[in-house]
Amino acid sequence: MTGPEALKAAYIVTWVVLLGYLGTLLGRFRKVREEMKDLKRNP
Amino acid sequence: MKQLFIAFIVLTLGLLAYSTYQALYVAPTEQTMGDVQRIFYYHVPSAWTAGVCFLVNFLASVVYLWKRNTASDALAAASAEVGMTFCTIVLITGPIWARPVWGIWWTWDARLTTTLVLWLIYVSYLMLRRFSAGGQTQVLAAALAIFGFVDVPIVYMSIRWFRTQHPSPVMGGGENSGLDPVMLQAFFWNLLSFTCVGIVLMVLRYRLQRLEENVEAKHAAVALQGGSR
Amino acid sequence: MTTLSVTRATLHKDLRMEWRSKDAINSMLFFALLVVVIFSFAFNPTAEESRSIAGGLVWVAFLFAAVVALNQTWARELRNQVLDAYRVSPAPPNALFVAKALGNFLFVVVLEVLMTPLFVVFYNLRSVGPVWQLVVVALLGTWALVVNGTFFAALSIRTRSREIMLPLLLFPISIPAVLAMVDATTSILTGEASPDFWIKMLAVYDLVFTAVCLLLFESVLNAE
Repeated sequence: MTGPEALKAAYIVTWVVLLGYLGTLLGRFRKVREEMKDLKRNP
Repeated sequence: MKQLFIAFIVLTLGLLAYSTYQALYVAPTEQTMGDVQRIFYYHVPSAWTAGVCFLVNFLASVVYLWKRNTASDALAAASAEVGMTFCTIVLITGPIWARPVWGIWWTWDARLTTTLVLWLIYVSYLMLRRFSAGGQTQVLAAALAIFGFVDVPIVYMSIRWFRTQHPSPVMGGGENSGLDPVMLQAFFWNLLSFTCVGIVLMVLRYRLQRLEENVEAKHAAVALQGGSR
Repeated sequence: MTTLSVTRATLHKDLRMEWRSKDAINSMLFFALLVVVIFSFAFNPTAEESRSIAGGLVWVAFLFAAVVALNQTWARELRNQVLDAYRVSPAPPNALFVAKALGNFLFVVVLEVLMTPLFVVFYNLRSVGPVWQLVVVALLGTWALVVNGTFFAALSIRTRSREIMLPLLLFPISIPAVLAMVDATTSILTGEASPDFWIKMLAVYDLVFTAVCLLLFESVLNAE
């Protein structure tokens, strides 16, 4: 792996990991909100 | 409160864009390593943020064992997960830098091995949280967090005795160890922006934990009512 | 009831039960024997250069075997609600912990004493350095494994899939201790380096983690 390639790869990986984590967080938020709505609708 | 947080997110995104611009275009190219050195601007701030998260995790765990409040437990859960994320970034960007510079992906030296062990410890922490049931989770996790935190300096000392190859910290060393002022400026912008990203993620994860606790309490309440009817 | 009498009573009970059933020691012994045999396929165990990896091999075998015994530590007490009884009794929790840790320590030491001749025979071992240092390393290293192992067994007994959980929690924390044991043993066996640093390291590790275990055990025992 040459220098510029490595640089690009490292920055992309950082972004992918951060955005991926953010994505799982948002997914879990949606799930919790839905569950909350279900609980309110038919207690 | 919510508006303040949204303003903080926008600020963080702006900072991240500016610090990345600083790292890629403003900071001068390093003489011996070339452009690869710019990985440093993401690698070290990620390590710093992971360290801050793990420190928060330790403090929150101690507070939890002392006060037994769910808020500090939620903070411990949030900081461990976010810290793990940044630690993962450190462990991936490190070898990508090492390959063109050292010619190898990985070496078992003090800092690398300690980071890997740190990562392993927090994976086991998150697994314990996932696998333990009900109200015990908090106490068990807090106990393990204290073990992990105490272990890290011992790991570092023992592997330092083994061998060390990682470049020594570039700041605060001898005369020749300093960074170029422009490099230093780019580095500090990244340090700031990564810390902010860490804070944003931790706040989000903390909110999520509280919501999940809420839902669980509601479920329990519904189950109780259903039983009495 | 003082701490000492509770410790003695619990230890006495555990040792007598083990003496009658010999469950833990038998399963550990057989497990360690299997590890010895399986390792022998990975390399030529009688070659002169295998001396430099023997330290690692011996300790990996003991580590895996110890987990077998550690997993049994609390199982019996949990089944018969002994832990709940213990919680409501005025007996100091750390007395229970120390008794369990000492019991496990004795089991693993017995295992090591019985297995060492086998290692010597099967791997053609001969120590270049002084043997008493090996004994020191073995005692300190065993305590390092066992004190944390007993504590983490108390953690993992409260989780789903308990038996898998113990090594997952124990191994990451034990990495510096294992490194110290392996390196000390190797440097004594080959006689090429001084094990002093590693022995000190193990002593510090033992002190620190014994203190942490005693500090936290009460919270873990009372976790609801």
